Amino acid sequence: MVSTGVPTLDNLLGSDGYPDRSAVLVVGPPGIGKETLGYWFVRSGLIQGDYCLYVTHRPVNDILRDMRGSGIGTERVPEWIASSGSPTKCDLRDSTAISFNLKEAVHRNKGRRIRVATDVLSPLLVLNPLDSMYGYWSQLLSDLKQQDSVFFALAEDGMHPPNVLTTMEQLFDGVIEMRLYEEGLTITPLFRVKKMLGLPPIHGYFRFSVSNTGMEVTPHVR
Amino acid sequence: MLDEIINEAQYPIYLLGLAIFLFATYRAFTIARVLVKGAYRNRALWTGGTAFALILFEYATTLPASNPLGISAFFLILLILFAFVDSSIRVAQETDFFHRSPLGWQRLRKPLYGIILGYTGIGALLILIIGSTVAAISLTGEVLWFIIAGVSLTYSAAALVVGARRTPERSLRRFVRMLGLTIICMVLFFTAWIPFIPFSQTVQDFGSLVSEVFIPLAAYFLYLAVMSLSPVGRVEEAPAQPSAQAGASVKP
Repeated sequence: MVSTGVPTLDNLLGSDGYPDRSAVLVVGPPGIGKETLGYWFVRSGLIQGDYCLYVTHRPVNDILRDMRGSGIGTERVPEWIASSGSPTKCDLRDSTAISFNLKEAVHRNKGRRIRVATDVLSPLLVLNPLDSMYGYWSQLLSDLKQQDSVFFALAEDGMHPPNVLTTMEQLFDGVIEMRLYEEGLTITPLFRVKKMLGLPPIHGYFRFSVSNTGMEVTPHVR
Repeated sequence: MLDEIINEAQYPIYLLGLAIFLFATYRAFTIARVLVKGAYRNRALWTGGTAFALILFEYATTLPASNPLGISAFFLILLILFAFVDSSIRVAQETDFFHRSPLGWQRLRKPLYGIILGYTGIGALLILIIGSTVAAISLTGEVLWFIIAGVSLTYSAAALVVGARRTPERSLRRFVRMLGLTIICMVLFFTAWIPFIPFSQTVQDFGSLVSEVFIPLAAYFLYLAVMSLSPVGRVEEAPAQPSAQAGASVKP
C-alpha cells in the first residue's frame, strides 16, 4: 500500500493508503482541493524516497506556488512534465508525446516505487474523442501497472458529460469524488470513496478541510 | 388612490431585492470559505463583495444629490464591478487548458486599473477638498464617467465572454450568463423610467415602479450566478449506517 500523505485518509482506506500498482481517480469541481490531495500524495512519496513524477498542463511555478499555499514545503520537488519550467514539456496537443515521456520516465526508474500525479486527464478528454481516449488511458494505465507504481489522476467535474466520467471511472481502480453539499443554509465540502481496489465498499461521506498544516478527513455526521 | 398603491408597492419590491442580495452575499461568502484554490476563492469573495456593494449602491441611489455618499457610490461601484469582472476573467484563464489571455487581458488590466483608480481617487479627493458633490461631479465630469465606465467595463465584459467561451468549465459559462443578465437588469433599473417622463405624474410613478422591479430580478440572477460558482449537491438523511465510519448518504 502507498500512503496518501493524509494520515486520516490512510486510516479510512484501511490504514495504509492507496493499493499497490493501482490507478486512482479524483473527481471534483475546480477549486475544491483535488490538487491538494495530489500534492500531499507526491510529498509523502518524496519523503519516503519514492520516484515522483508530476505531469501537468500548468507551468511548474504555478504548481509550486499552490503547494506552498497548501502548506507543503518545496525544498523537495518531483520530476516534472509541465507546460513550462521543466526540461520535458507537456503539450496537450500531442497526447502521444505525453504518454511516451511519462512511460520513459517510469521505465528509467524501474525497480523503485513510483508515484505519478497528473491533471492532464480532463484536458485530453475535452480535446480528443472519447473512444480514442478510452484506448489511450486503458493502454497507459496497463503499462504503468507493470511497474511498482501508483497513478493518481484528477478529473474536473462539470467539464465532461456524465457518460465520459463514468467511462473513465471504469478504467481506474479507485475513485474518490469531492463536492460541495448543501445542508440547510450551510455548504460543506465532502468526499466519498466510490470504489477502491481490494477494499469493501466504504459507505457514507467524509468532511475534509485543508489548512496550511495539512488535510483533515472526518466522517460526516449531520 | 392609484398613486398611493404605486408608492406602497415600491417598498416590498425594494425589500425583496435587498433580501435576495443579502442571501446571495451570504451564499457567496459561504462558498468562498470552503474553496481551497486562491483564484476560485477570490472569485467567490468578489461575487459576495459585489452583491453587498450593490445593496449599498441601491441604498445610495435613494440619497439626494447633495449627499457625498450618493456620488461616492458611483465612483466605487465602477471600481468594484471592474475588479469583480477581472477576478472572473482570471478564473476563465486558469480553467482554459492553454491559459490564453483573453483579448490581451494580462497586458491591459493594469493600465485599466490605473485609469479607474486614478479617476476614482480624483473624484474622492475633489469631494473631500471642495466639500461639494455637485462641484465634484462637474469637475470629474459625467461624460468622463460614462466614457471610463463604458470603455473599461465593456472591454472587460468582452474579455470575460471570450474567456468563458474558451473554458470547458460549464459552471463558469453559466456564471457569465447569469452575470450578464444581472448587469442587463441593472441597466434597465437605471433606464426603464425614462420613457415615462413625458406623461403625467402617476404614469411617471408607474415608470419608477417598473424600474424598481428590475432590482429583485437583478438580485435573483446574481444569486443564480453565485450558485454556479461551484456545483452544489444536497445531503439527505441516511437510511442506514452500514459501518462505524459511515456518515450520511448523499444524493448529488
